[in-house]
Amino acid sequence: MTEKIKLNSFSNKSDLENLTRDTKNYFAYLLFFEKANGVIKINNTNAEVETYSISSLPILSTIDYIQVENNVSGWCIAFDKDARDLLLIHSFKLFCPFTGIVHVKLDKTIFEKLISYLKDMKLELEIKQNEYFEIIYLQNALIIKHLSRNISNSNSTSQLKDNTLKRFADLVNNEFKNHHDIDYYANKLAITTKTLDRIAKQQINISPKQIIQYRINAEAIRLLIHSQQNIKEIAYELNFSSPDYFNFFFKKINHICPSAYKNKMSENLRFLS
Amino acid sequence: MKEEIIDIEFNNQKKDYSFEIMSLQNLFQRNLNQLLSEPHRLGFYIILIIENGKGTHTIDFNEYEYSNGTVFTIGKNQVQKYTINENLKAYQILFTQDFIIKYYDEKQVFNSQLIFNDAIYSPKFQLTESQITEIIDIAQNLDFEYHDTLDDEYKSPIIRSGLHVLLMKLERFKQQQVPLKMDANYTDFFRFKNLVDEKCFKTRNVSDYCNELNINQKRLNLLTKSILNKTAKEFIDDRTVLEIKRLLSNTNSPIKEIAYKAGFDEPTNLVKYFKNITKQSPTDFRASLK
Repeated sequence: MTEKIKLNSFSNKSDLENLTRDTKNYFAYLLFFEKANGVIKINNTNAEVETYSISSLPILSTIDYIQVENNVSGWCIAFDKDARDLLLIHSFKLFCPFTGIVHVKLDKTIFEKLISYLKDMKLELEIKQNEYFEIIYLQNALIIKHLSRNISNSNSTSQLKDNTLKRFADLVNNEFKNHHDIDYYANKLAITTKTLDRIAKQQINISPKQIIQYRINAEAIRLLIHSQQNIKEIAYELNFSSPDYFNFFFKKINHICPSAYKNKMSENLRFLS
Repeated sequence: MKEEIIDIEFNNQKKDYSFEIMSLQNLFQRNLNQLLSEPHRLGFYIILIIENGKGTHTIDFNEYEYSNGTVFTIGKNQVQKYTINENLKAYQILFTQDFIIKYYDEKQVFNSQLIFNDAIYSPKFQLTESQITEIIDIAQNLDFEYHDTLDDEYKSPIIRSGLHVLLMKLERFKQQQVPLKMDANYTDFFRFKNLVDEKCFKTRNVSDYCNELNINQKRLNLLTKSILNKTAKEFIDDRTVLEIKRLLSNTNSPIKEIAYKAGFDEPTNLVKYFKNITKQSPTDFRASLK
């Protein structure tokens, strides 16, 4: 069995490449660069990595190449799907494929604070047969909360360079509950669905439909884990025409039906909110 | 006659976090020493972490000595009293029940755990050197976050997660010292304990509790014997006396009134009952607090 959360430090380039290779078991990555100088290319987007910077790799991303000096060092956290889902609520900015890969440059003090949390977490992970796995989730939540707080437009580069796509992402974020169809969004942006499709494919290699579905799915996950609503209520809140259709939708993306998912995840995890 | 002991309710000038962290030095400088060195009943929870210093702290009329690395966990409605010590280096963390109910599973925090479980475990426990550095680290982070002027949507979630990590680590450290058996016996015992806390002024009859819990007297006695080495009746009496003590210290009401409040037909019955268990009359007890 693979661990839900894997934390490793790296001290050269090949370490880093090895750590980020397992995209089958691990869904999302956070890279903390203690010392780095170079370029990392993910999903066709170049970003500079430098000392005290952090990169988040959400799901569906592939690293095209890493071009850094060999003495790169830092930490890498890998999350599997369950862990990513549980932490999603805190980390929408970080783990969402359409806000893209986020590269953040931090102040030294904040960066060092995060590293000290990472070290605590490393100690915690080393305790075998950990009955207090919650602590690890909480420590992760702490790191992610601090990180989300420190992401601003000035210190981060997002994958979304194209303005239309940014507006589309914002629109989806605001209206996904009521509007599931691309036509609506294309209309609002005053472009055809075809154009929207083409821009999205070109820029981030994800279709607009996937972006909408991803956003709905993220909300469904959040509600299933953290709210007291039953599945029927959630289906109607997300504006599905029937609970059956919601079931079908959820199962298609997550390969598990909502009720089984709820049971699996909601064991005493309310504390993560 | 002793003047009335004040209920201290949670009062935080800083927004409505239902949470506060401060150093004890800070607290002792607030000109509250008069109040703090009298017994007072808490309307909230306290975690007291002694980083450096020696002294005593009084909880529920028992005096506990502390030294470097002592932690006290004091629950709602417990009565405590500080011994002023201006050189003490310690953190005090306060939070309300609302804070717990709102964000955590209350059952998880209060029923199945070792900390804040005054019926079974002592409120005091001692940490090793490495453990205390770990705890102080978290407290410092909480302190920094709480007093930081930066006030945004992340502040409260960060404090919540931090406090929760602290609670879980304390729980773990206490568990390393005090073995915790979590089996069916414990679940039944906690049901019994909660029921006693709720109803000890209505009935002190073991069979009443057995009926309510749907278990027979023999099993209940086995339960309390195995966990506390006390009979069920002894446990009920202990809790009742503690509640009476709290009333005695907490209010200025005459013994008569307390007797009726505690469900005794006649004040003399209360005096006898109290004396039988504590070897001290209620009036003497009250005087001893002064």
